[in-house]
Amino acid sequence: MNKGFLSIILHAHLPYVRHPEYESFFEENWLFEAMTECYIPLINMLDHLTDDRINYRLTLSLSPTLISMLTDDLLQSRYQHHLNKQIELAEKEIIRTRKQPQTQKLARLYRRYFINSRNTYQKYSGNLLSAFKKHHQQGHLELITTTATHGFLPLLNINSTTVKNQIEIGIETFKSNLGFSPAGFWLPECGYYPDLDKVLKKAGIEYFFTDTHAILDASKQAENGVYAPLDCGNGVMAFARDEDSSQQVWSAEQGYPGNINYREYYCDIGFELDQDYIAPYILDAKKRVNTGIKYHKITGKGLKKDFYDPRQAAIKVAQDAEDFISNCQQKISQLSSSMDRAPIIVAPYDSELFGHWWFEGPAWLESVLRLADKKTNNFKTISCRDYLQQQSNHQVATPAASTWGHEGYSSYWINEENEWIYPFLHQAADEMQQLATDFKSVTVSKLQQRVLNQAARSLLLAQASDWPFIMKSGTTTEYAKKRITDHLARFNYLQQSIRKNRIDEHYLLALETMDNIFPDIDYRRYAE
Amino acid sequence: MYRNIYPLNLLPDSYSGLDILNINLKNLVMASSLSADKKVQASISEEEMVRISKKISRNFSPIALIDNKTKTLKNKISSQELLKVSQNINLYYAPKAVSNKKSLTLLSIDPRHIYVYWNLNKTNSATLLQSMYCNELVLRVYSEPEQNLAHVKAKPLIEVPVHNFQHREQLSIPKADKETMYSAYIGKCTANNDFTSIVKSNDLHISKAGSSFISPLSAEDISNNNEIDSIDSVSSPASHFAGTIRSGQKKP
Repeated sequence: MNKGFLSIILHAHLPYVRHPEYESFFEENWLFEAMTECYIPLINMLDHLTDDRINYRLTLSLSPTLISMLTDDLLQSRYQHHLNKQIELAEKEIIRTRKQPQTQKLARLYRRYFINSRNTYQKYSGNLLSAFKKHHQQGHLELITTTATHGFLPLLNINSTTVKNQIEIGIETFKSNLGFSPAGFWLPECGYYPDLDKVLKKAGIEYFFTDTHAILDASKQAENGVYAPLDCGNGVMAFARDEDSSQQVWSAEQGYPGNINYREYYCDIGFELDQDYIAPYILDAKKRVNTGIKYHKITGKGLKKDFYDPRQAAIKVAQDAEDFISNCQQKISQLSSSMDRAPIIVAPYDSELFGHWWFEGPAWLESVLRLADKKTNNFKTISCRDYLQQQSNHQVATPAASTWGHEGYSSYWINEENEWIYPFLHQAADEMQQLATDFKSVTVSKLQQRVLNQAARSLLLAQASDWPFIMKSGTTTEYAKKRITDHLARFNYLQQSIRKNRIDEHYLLALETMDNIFPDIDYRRYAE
Repeated sequence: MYRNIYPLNLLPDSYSGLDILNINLKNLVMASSLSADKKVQASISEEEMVRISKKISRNFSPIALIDNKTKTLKNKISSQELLKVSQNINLYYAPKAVSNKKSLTLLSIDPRHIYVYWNLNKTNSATLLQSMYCNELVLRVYSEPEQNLAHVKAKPLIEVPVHNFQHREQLSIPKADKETMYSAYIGKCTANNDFTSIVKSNDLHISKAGSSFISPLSAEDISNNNEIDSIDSVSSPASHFAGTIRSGQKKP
């Protein structure tokens, strides 16, 4: 008997990494890796579930930057090339490992895996968005979106037009690509502050997600904890992450992905094999990068890495999926007896976890959704939108300011590594607003209009939460600094061009070619 | 049961054969549609087709014409030229210093810390320098929004001297058991305790410190410390898994 619900949300986002100014560019691989390892396996999973008539509900948040990249001609053609090179390398590996049967077996599997990716890619004519759209239309997949460039709103709300435009341009990009307005919204990094719901309300949003403590520390004690949404007072609902189901998947120590039988992410032949041999498959034949071919399993701390065994891993996937479902059943059973309504377990994850970091993640997710469809369960999968249609009269309270980052607030996005960016970002936002206001009542030429629109694009791209995040995490920090500096420099250049009325069309065209996101943007929306 | 959903067990060894079959099928479909086209072509001459095509293009697709023109222009810019433009702009327009506009901004780090930065324009630099030298220029932080303050005569929560025209700092704030709005002023404080504000900040909302929050600073540090902290005093956070996979950079 159904007593409650499980809502799984995948948030798919990558920063805008598109570099036509280079023949090949390392950071574009982030997208290509995610396509092969995350998005295509996710689509395959959705196709399998549909083919097998599994009744499931899943929510996918697609960021506007990701949407733009997935539909971009240049990136699509570069991905095709990337995938062909992966297939070529796997074929070369089959020959190289002919005297190592264990390794060769895995090389063959990788070849099939990449070819399967290519087939799926071709099946959807290179447009993965169309696949997600198809599953949405079939009624199983709820699609939502986030801010335009994943701007971290708690640190950008100094300027009201920034928050408004990050949200509205995000929704419009989604709508122009998917053909409908989303009901739900993913706040980047779950960054919420009181009154943000009012901006969401104006944008037509019905619900959003927060971290656990946003509800637990709300203005009034949440009667049902995180297992029912809060009405922010204006009809916009806040759903909070369930900490237990997050820990089961996120936690490096106790979580499923750390099991010794799962594939080791860090052992990649791009870093292991002879330079001359691997050169055609790494960056500019020099810089070692992940190739996606990995032969070892996690094995255990301090032990020599064992060969990966797909069968062992598959057994573990089955066990972990059953464990997750069993925990959900127990929780629903406990909650339903003490709540005045059907409880909902909200389990949001970054979609790039599934397949990229956790190779077996898509298989686990598919298993979970299959098992969740059993009639003997005491819960069903649901989207938050459907839940709201079934349940009414929600408790009214204001969630607490919070994020899902380290320590639960903003410290990961403002600290000694990245704090210098905020005066520049706020200043540029003020200048954009002033620029739009100044030109609001003036007749502008088409060329001037293009400059103003491009300035808005540059500002949005500078505001991505990814740049301060990377600066703090200490990974590709130089790239993050360069991106934020480049976009602010482009904004400054465009602003001065129009203020001084010295517009170089060649330069403008170059910037439009490089930062071609948000083709329908209108600078007037930044005016006061 | 899981054979069909496991990524590496997904396909039989002969899958590459299927791939070839797919291509052949696609070619067959193309050949079929080509032969159908030939039947149509037989009844219309080439010149006529060109004429009709031009007419339709001219009269019915003005947007497409504009798009094609733009596309051609864009294609004219080589990757080297794009790179050159990018480098030139970065060289001359990269942000080096914030503008001379007077500002004071508060940002929320967590329930125990706020971040403040200011920019005092230098139009009255001699007067300001004199005030700084005499320790008369101060930053005052209030646990009230700006509109609730009786022109900054309320007791400030934090008061610290200002020694620079531009500055960025982190401040510790006491633990609050309710949601609190903060605001701040920089102004001149005279001997008889009169305060003349020069610049005011935005209002800042800080959530109450919930039970789940553990400050990187100890409670003792905070109660004894209303001085401006160095930004370095925030302990370096351990990586949070939810965040670390952003951009696919770090594994748990």
